[in-house]
Amino acid sequence: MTPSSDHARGTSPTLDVAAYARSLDCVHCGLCLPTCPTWQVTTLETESPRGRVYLMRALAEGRVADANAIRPFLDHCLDCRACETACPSGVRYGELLESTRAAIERAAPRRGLAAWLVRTLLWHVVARQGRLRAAFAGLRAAELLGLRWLATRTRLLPAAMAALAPRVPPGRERRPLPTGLHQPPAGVARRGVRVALFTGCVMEPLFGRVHRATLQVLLANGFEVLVPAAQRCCGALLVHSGRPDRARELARANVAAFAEADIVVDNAAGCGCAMAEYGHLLGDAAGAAFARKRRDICTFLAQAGLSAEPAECRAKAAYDDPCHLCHGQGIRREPRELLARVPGLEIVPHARPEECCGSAGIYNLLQPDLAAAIGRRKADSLVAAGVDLVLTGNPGCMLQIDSHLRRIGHQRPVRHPIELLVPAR
Amino acid sequence: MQALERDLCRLLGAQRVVYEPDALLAWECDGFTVHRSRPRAVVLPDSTAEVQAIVRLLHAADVPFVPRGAGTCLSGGPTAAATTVVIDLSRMRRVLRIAVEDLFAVVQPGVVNLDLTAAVRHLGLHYAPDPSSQSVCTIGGNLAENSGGPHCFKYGMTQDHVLSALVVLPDGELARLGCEAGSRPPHALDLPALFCGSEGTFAIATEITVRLCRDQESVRTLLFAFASMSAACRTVSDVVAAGLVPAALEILDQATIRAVEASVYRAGYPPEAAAVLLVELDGPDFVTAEEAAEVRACGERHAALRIEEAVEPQERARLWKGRKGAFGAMGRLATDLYVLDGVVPRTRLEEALERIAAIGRRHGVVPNNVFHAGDGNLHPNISFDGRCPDQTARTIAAGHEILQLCVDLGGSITGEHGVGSEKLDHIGMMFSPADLDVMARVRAVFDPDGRCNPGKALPSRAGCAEVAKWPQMVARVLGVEDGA
Amino acid sequence: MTASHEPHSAHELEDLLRARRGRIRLCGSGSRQDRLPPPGDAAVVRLARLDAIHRLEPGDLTCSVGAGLRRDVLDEALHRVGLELPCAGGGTIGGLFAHDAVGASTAGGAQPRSLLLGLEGMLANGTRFRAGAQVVKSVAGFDVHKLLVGSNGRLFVAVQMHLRLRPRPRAEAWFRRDGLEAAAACAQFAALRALAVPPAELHLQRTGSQCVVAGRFAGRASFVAERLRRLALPEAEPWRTLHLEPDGSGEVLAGIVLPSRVPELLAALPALPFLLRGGGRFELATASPAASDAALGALAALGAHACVARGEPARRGRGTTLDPGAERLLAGLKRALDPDDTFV
Repeated sequence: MTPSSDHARGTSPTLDVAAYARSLDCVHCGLCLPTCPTWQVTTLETESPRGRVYLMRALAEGRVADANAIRPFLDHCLDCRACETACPSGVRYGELLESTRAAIERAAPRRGLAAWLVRTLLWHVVARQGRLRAAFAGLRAAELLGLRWLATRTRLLPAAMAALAPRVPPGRERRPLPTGLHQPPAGVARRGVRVALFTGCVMEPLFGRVHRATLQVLLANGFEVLVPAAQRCCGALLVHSGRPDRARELARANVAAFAEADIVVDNAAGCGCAMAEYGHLLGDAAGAAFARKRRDICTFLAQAGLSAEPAECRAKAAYDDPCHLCHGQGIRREPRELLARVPGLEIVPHARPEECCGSAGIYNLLQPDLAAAIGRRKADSLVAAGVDLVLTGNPGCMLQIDSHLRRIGHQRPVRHPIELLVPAR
Repeated sequence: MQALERDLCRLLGAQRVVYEPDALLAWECDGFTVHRSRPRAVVLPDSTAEVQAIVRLLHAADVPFVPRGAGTCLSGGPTAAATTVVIDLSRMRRVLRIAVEDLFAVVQPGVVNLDLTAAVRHLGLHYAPDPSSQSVCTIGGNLAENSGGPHCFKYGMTQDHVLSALVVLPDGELARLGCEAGSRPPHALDLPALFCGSEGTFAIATEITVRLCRDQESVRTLLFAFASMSAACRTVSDVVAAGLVPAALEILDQATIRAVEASVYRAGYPPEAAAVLLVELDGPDFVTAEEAAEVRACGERHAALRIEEAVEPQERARLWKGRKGAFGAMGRLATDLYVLDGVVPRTRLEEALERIAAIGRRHGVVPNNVFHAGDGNLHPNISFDGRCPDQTARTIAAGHEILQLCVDLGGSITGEHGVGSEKLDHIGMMFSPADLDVMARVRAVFDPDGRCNPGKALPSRAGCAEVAKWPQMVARVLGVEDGA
Repeated sequence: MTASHEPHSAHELEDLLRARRGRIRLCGSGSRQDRLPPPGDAAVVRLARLDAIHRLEPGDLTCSVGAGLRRDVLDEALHRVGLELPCAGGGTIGGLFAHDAVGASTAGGAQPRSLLLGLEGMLANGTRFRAGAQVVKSVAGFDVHKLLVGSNGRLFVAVQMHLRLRPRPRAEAWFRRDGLEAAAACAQFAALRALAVPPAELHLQRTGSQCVVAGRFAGRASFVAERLRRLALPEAEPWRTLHLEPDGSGEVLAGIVLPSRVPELLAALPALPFLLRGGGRFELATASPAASDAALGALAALGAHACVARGEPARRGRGTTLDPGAERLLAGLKRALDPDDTFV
């Protein structure tokens, strides 16, 4: 049955039939509410998965007078998918949200400076590695010249945003990983397996050390590693901003860049999750084949088994599940198994390992207030656990957690699990 | 924006008042999605003083209101008419006091049931009533509905755990019901017991004092799979006849087992079984071990296909997981779900289940059963497509007959979900106009103007209670009545 | 001259109430009448003939009985089928609930209100009504039947009552410790209350400066034996004292207190005879009305509630100050259910 057309209004976007049918799976039981970070900080039904599904369904049924009135509630969603983990009816919330966001964007494209800026940045800078590198070099220079301080003092930049803006590491930290084929060092038993490494967009300029650690761990464990030069951004942020068309362009480029690889590994949960859905995004066999051959780095290593003993790390640490790993890909056990192999490392539980930290792509830039409240919950939970090291596998989460720990005066090192798997020299 | 909304915004700030019509759609219904109505506004107070201030404004403006928790009610309790303001208490979620030696806690109404247990777990305590929605439903909502749960058989309903409540009456005045030491001062009536289950039609509780229970040394969960429903029921009878009082006795039928096994709440229940029985025993370790042996013997006598026993918390949680997610998992079967809540005397369970199946056949619907066997509290779930008027009408008709059957067998139309708006047409099966008139008089003591959750729990003209009017009901279900 | 009536059936009662003008004092077996103000000119209506066991369903753990049924008669019938009504108190079943004189027997134990599933009642004008249900679980309608508990027959008549039952424990054993100092007795009482499975019944009595702690473990034979052994409690005769008797011109206060405040209570009111049950209900004997008033003040300061249960008829029911909002509701309920103030 298609959504009722009797009620359709000029401004009311229509969902495709499949997306509408998915909204009907919800029986309004509410088991998703406590898992939703935006509900936790607002307790508003409109900021809960159940409320959003209900509004999306009402929209499709033509019962919403003005789609723009409910748009903020959909924008506030972190897309963390924690609700899917909790849903007994199996509502595919993420797909429903993406379809609805795209339908609203089609019917009423966003206007205004902020929307233009986001679109421009995502498409013309973030999705183009050369420009992204140049942008970060510029940011670094600005930081060295004291411009961040100046911008905050002169209130050009809100203080909250300035505090959140990532600290750009020095140039040697940002240098790209050499492309091409890397061989394991002499003396390492080779496995005869070649993997291709996906490097993505912001991980390189912000956490170049994570890429170098990934390469080092793979080589030390006897894998050949290929870093294709032609790869591009995964496109996740464009999908979430209601521009699947542009995301598809990037996806096709990646499918081509990795055509010869049998296994593609990625070390950013968000990128991995997006690429796992290339089949759905591209709607073709090539996309599906790509999705099948990609692996999260921890899952890959846990399955292959570590042959190189990680270096000792005496620390009490918490592992925080990135949403796109635990809810998006169902990966919870593997990173913990690998971390259990690190000598000296004690992993302690904390209260909300599977609750989103509020980073969620560029969410912390678009929804600074909600992101700050959600980030605060995460930081409080980690501090209460009394840890001196935080481990999580996504660059956005690393930034967000780091900045919120600093904000409450409890700075702690935040690392990607792969960084702890590097063997001692 | 009207004057009232403006006053509410001035009182609470615009962030905590919702009056935009499209946004209000999200508050149209609770877990009973057949009745829908968009409220006039939603307000989210933070404190007793704010609730009082809101209620005073509404009193002055003669505007009705509905208190709401997490909106998981299954009988339309917190659904608000277009003239009504929803007072959403979910921001009031602080545990105010924990008295370890005296075994009670004082909580705000928005505290989530399971969060209270989490807050006292390190003290070796827990809050006993455990509705299946306990990870989201609130203590305030539990108090309003007198919620039950699997562990009622041994530990009783919410009513048995409420000692006291501070309530805001519909004129804005405060009243302290009961006392912390034990619900009733010796020279007073048991007001907390009366208040519990009043479905939000008396007043708004803003501080609730509940009993806490000590964790038992050992908890054992047994799972039995049977080839027939009657074997499961007879096992329960044998357990009760043996004088055992398990903490819980739960049965799921085959359709429910299969729905659960297809969901994220998969628990490893054997899909070929006609019924799964969960029995939980708690107490000193050697006692639960001895009792488990007796319970096992009962199950073996009725040719259980499989028996599993778990003591470790993780394993027990796995056995329970399917039961807890059963309602939501039904969403997989069709777009809508009608959850019934009838009670029959436990000894009539088998007969009731057979007759319920026959009613289903007659109306061309399939009632799936998941139920609290120890209490005789049935939850026949009928999956249907609400967009199809014929299916909806047949579902409602079957539900009506099932509830009549429960009453005919000496039971009740609702064991723990409440009357709400859903069962207004059924309450006449149990109570005469005179009975309802006495109840209406009691309600009027708290809410003389009828502004606190009007139109719920009792038929509106209780003195001359209407007989269930069939076509009118179907019309309401289909939304024809409110012009939607 | 006080008239007295003893209806044999609900019909007779109904006719009586419809015909009757003037006030009425409800009475079961009469065992608790000394706790109420005197009936004055009110006619006494005794319910002792409404004593049928209408229904007893061992498999359902429920029964329905006439309010005038004597507790000992019901117990005998229940014991024959291996069941019990897990609360203390004698007289008639109706009186037991209407007076609710002893409360719960133990920490977290069943309060009488939990055992009353429903009833068929009658208003002062003879209108019959039902509330609650016959089954162990029902949330249909408001729980007007729970208003019977502690109503002392001043709201309505309970005609038939639906009760929740429990399997009778397979074994039980009484214990008792005598000659304890107050502090030691309180510590023993608290420790027993704090057990994950506390005794099924628990009592603390102070006479002079000496205290006794007594109680009963119930359950499987192995459990009962293990408890006495592990806690090194001496086995004893069953404890029978549920109430204190006033002395001469003295009074007895009945109250409820948080267990954690009991040591303070005993210290604040030294030497007064005191009887405490596991559920927190207590009785306290005073030497005079003046002493009672002083005690009520001290009790209120401890967060306890109490009232005069026995003593000068005119003073019965006088107690600690209740919350004004609750007072308003209590008065409203009396007006709503018995508008002519028939039941005294």
